[in-house]
Amino acid sequence: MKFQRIGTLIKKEFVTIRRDFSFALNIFIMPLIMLVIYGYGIRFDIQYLPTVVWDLSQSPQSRELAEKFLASGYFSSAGAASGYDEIEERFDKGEAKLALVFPADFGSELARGEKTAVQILVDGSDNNTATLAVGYARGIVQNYQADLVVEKLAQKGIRLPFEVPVVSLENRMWYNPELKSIRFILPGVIVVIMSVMGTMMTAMTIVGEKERGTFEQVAASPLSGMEFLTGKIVPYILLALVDMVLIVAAGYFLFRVPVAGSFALLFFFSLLFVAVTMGLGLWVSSISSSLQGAMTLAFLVTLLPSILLSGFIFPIDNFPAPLKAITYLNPGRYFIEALRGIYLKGVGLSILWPQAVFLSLLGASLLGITLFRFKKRLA
Amino acid sequence: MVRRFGAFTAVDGVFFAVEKGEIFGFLGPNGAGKSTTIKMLCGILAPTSGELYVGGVDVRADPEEAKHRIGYMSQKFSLYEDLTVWENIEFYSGIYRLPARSKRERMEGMLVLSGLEDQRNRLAGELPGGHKQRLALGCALQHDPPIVFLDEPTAGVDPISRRNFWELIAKMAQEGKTIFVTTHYMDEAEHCDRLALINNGKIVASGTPTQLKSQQTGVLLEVATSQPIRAFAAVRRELPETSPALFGALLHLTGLEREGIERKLRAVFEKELIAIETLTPVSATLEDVFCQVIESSDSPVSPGTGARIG
Repeated sequence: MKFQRIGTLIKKEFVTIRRDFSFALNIFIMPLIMLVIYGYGIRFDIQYLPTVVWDLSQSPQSRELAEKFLASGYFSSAGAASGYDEIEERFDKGEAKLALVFPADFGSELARGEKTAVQILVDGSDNNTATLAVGYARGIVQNYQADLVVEKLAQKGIRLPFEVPVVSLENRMWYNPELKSIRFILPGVIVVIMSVMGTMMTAMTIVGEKERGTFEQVAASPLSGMEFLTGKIVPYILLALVDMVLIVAAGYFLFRVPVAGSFALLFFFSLLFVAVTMGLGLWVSSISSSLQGAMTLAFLVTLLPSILLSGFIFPIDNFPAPLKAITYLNPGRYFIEALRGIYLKGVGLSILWPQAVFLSLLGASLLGITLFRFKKRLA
Repeated sequence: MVRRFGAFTAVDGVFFAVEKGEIFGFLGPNGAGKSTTIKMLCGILAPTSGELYVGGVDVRADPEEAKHRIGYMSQKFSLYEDLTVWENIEFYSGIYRLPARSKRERMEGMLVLSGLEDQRNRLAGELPGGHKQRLALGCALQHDPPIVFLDEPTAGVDPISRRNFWELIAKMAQEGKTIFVTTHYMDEAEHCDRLALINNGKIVASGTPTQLKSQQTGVLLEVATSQPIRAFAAVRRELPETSPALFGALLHLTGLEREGIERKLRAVFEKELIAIETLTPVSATLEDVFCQVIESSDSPVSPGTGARIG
């Protein structure tokens, strides 16, 4: 290993990158675009779900309950309706996702202290949102009912001759008290962006030299395969880390997602993961001969596993056993666990050491295999 | 040495030695194995089997040392098109680790050699073909290698640039450099000290240009006819053993003795209604040798399978 040669390569690579405007754009703009798309696009929580009210009762009670719905923050008013036909039409047009229907005697029955009902209609075409909406609605109605009971008892001045045992559920969402899905998603987005960028950049830069024939001239020089790969990769390790900083900063400034844990640890895991993606990129470049092929393969081996098999969107715990076994080989899985630990829980290496070990193992074996292949092929 | 790609044998037991300070020409049709041979000698491609020594260094055992002794210019322009002329030179000066003291001077020297002093900040990709070739040569020679490999260095270059390039090659040889060059152009082959002809991965003839030309057995006849194209087609069909070749409007034929060929030729032309204007024995050019050797080595009933050089 001669550092002068490696330094020469690194310098050349940066000159090339600086000159290739579209490539530079890719490196810095792509991650931000991906972050914005994923960040705003993927939501597991519901907020301001448009709700129409068909109030046949027109009573203080019905208005009070409807008011509670809107005040919860989960639902927003999409106006009033006057019949099932109209509700259906609003659903069809997508103007409303939920409808509250108060029967004509809702207010009077409540006033008389009788049993009554309120109907909720939900647009079930978005299954996830519908389930959440029904859950929130049930909570609101139950709270309203409890208020009614207490109010009624107090009105009548009744004191029960015995203590009524009451169990109240107090839930606290730790690490993500407001249950904002972006906090949960951001680490996943980081994994997707880093693995796509890291793998793709590495594969493209090396296959590019093969395709353009420039590698042939370099191969006839005393530069060794190891020196070549090192010199080619180092610039992209730096760029990938810059990308990482960019995403963390954008996550904070655009989405208000702070890092609970240590930045040093975040950086350490990023470095480990970058090594893995570079290894993957080298592997891709060792089996593709065209830029087109390399790009496709890089997308395939990064995008699918990092989105589907990393626990980014679908919880790994729910996977069938064979699929679950595969995820142990997915570096994205460990990085996402580490990132969530650092981002949300603020935990340290004492908890995350298994992830560090697995990432190192995967990275070392990937790099080892590809370097060996590369060396064997050259001379 | 031997190199196989799957079931295909690109270089099939080639053996030769090149003397120090020689211009050694490597000739052969497309796909004969010229580039594969050069790539193995330059340590770009590993041979399937065999031994390679460059400047006394075993290429397989110590590729780094061997590569210090060679300069390589590939058939396809293989410098960085998105770097400027100067940046390319600078890049290779770093790769070859030129000593800091003489580096600048050496780089300027290569710029002069490439004739690109006034284009140093131009992107290499924007240069015309001839300039690209010279830049490639400049980059390959920066570390002053004693051995230079040139793979079709003048392909696609205009005649004047070609002549200048060969003047450069001659100058390098005078300075004591060993030149290994592949080419398609027979006039270029005449400039070489020694030649080897390769076909289907095998060396089929070798020697100095004069030796090769005199090695030609039998006679060479030059025939001028009223319809050269038709005449060529007819001879090729009826008398393939004469290895006909078209030189401008003239037809070249080879054979053991004049009378026999002439008799057969007149019979063929009579049938085809082609008139012979002149028929003269001539001395062989390299192109004749090339065509004859290649064709006889291609045909399955070829008498001798070609010489090997040692």
